Amino acid sequence: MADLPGLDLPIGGLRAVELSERGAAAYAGKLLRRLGADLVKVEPPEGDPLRRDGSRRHEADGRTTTAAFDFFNEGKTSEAVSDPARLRELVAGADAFILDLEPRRYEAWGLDADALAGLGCGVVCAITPFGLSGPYRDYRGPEIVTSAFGGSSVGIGAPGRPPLRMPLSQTAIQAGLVAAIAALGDAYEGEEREAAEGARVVDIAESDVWATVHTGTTVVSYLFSNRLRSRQGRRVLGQPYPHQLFRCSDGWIAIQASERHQHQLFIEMVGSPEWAAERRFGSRLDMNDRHADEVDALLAPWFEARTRQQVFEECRARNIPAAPVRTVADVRADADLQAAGAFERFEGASGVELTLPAPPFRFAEAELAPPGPVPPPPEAP
Amino acid sequence: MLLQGVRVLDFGWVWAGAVPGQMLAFLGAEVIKVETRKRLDYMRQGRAIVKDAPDTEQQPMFHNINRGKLSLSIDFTAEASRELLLDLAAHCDVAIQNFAPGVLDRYGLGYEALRERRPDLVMLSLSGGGQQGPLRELRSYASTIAAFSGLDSLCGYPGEEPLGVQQSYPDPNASLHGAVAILAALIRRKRTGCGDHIDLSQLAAGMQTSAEAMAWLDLFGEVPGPLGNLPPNEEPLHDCFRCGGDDEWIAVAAEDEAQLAAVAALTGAPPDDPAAVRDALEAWCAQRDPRGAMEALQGAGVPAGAVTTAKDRFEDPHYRARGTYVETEHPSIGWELVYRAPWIWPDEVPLVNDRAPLMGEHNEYVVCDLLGRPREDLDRLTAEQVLY
Repeated sequence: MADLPGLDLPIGGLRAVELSERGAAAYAGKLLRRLGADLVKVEPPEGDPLRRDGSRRHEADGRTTTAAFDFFNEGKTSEAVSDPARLRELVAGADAFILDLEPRRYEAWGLDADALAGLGCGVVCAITPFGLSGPYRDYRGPEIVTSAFGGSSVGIGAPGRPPLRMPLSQTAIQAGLVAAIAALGDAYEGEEREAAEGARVVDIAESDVWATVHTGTTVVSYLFSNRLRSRQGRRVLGQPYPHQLFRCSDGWIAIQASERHQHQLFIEMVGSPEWAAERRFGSRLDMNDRHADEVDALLAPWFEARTRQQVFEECRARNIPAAPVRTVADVRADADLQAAGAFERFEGASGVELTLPAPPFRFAEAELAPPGPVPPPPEAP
Repeated sequence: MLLQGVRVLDFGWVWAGAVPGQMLAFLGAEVIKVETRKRLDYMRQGRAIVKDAPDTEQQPMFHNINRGKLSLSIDFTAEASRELLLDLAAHCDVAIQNFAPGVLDRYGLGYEALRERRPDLVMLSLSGGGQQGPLRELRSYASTIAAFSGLDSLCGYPGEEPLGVQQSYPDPNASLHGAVAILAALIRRKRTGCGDHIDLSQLAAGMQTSAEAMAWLDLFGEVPGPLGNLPPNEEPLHDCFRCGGDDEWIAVAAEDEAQLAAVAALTGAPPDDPAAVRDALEAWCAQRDPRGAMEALQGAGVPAGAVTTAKDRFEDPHYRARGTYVETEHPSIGWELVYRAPWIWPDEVPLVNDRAPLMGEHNEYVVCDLLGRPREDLDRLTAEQVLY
């Protein structure tokens, strides 16, 4: 960062190297690149495996990509590396090296999971499914596995039927975020640190990312209340009614009226029916946990007589938090989002022009790096 | 400590607003949570966990997501609080807030006002639909962001109607995006001397989680519905299977023929018939507990993971070995278990392990030590319920 280039970019001049096989390091790399980092994506000669597997594959005119690969890798500069010495050369002197190899894959890259500190960069963010320590450290972890073990799947689905994983590549996104935070935290301090001290190695387990910031709060709830999250279809237990989806004439709407006054406004919205005051429904919490099916049935005619947009507008008029369950096509067609510049266009690796969400943060004083085409697979050496 | 010397004025509340400050605390920043009894953080409300009566100090959610912070209890709607908070802003590097857009401005505590006292302040404003434009008025919770961003439409059994994600995933998701942005702005500040105001829309953050499905629109001309446990492509096995206990399950994926053969060998199925392997695996899992099945499958090279409940994670030897949940002593509850930061740093970067603060526990530190005001000010402001 000696000559302070790119001062309009939040982290212009910061150097980062990404080695991704499972998406997480790639999402971290995307965030850092858009924030201004000088990012090199390292790929094996046959390309990042996410170009073919782990997300739905698309092939056109002999070119292959996946949906997740395109989203995670727009605008990147990629270098094909077959010689581990070249990887070490790229990493040496970088501010951050972010990798998401499963431990069994380290050897193929000439890396040793226990000796990453010798790499001579600022920080190494080592993302693995289960971490660099613990009895399960060598276990394999595609999304369906980390979503289950981390405690997310247990609450998605219907009672008695199989739990469902978080859709798409949520583990990659969340672990990538944590890696980006670690890399930036280190870089903030790092300008005063001697490079000779060796790299700091941050052990980021995808299972921990789920089990802490996402599902960690449920553990202490369990210890004190003995309450466990379970699959309840379109609602959750332990919350005041309503906290769920309702069926309207043309689809579903999510309504959450957690506060007392919101619950009251909700009851007024649906016409203040007499049954709502009946003692047998008890508290708002009891109404949700014990009587929700009955209450839903009583409310069904009201909702089915309205579109989700009509209900949404009625909720907005009362400041009741609500939103229609939208398909991704609905989201992309949202004129308000389009006007707000929420989408951006770039060319994917199979040659298709994509319109996808822009990064979610806006800086009043700084710029983001623009989106760019997804790099094509490395040339055959 | 990586963020040694960084002080944070943290108006963030509930969940999405609390976690960005927590991440900075985990990295060593001094995070001062600004809160008030006049309008309690929802996370301080609810059933007490070791008492019968409501108690603001007995909420486990709060203890998790505000760990490592200090607490200043102050009614910022009171006129007399404004000057104190502006003085405090002058001592802070970062401010975080997730009130509805315009609320802080109304009390003279918006970005422009704070910046007058601290010109290089880095501020994060997080809200449902961002600070500008027609979505500015959007009132949201995580559940409504999940619906509005498209994520809910992808959660459910394939071919059926959506069930939704039914967890507060969009909250920490927005928080983590916010922490990334704050740190980036702090790095820029270090190099330029300039602060910044970050506008983070929780809806836009949520759309990062459904973006991959938006690519389907362009790549395949399809609008995806509920994806359930469908494999990404033609992986031969990819589902959750019922185990022996009560509502116990395991996720298993055989991503190629070799892994399918390993499942076949383990379960005694013919290796060349995926349907037969699936049937055999179902029968095999039904006789085992999820952890034993996970260890056997992973031992054979097959990706598998127990579908854990909170109880399972509490008891799990792997999480235990990694210290994923740590013990703290809380004055009101005593022993409790909270989650640690989502990473493990080497020893020279210690993990922060302070408990969550009591309401107003650090009023004296802020008013007298930090702002240098006399003790009488503290007493007077407390008596006037400004510090409240």
